[in-house]
Amino acid sequence: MQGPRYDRLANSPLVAVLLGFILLGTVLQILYPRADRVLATPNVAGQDTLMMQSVAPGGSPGLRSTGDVATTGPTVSAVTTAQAVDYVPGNIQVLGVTLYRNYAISLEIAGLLLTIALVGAVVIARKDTDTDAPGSGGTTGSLPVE
Amino acid sequence: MSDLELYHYLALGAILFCLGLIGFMARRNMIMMFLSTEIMFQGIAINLVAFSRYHMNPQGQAFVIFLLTIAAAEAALALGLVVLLYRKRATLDVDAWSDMQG
Repeated sequence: MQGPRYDRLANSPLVAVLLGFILLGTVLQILYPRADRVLATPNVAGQDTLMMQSVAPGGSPGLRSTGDVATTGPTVSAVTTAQAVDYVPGNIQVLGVTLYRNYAISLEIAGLLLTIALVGAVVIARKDTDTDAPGSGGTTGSLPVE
Repeated sequence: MSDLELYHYLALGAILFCLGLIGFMARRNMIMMFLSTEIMFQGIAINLVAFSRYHMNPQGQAFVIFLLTIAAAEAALALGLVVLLYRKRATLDVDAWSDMQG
């Protein structure tokens, strides 16, 4: 790529994208400190213990709604600290924390895969638009030659 | 909601899988066969979510999120292929492509 160094850096914005991710994460940490409290559970698998509060001790755990988690969570507080008891996250919140805590790279790869699939689907679907035109040479995507 | 046990969800997943399988066997339309495979996929996803909720383990639901991502990518590519095949033979019948079998 030609040109001076600042121009080349502006044309390859990898560092800018990474810094944008860091900036977004910082702003979200400031705006939503509650998610930080979810992450600050003492155990290694913190969100697992938060979900396991709703499991009845000794009994077979059935499928419970998040309302059961909210009601039985503060009473069964053997595995949580005092700061996690007053705030019991729901199912979707636990799922989001799990995704962004354990599978962040996989989530980025999944987004990249969706983008590639979108581009690939468009490329497959718009190919060979002029197969009926005789003698057009099979050039893809071009208008038929008069 | 609290009356539902694990086997209800497993039965729903099995019913969806069987419906998809029957549709895949019976239909000759390419788009209908593709949608039947998607129905089978959703039955498996319901199984995964039910077991995840039963064991109170959110990693199963995270796995389902990735499964749906793969399903979306596969759906986009498969529909592109259906469009391409329709342009070749001007029909959606899979019997028009029976000469491709081995």
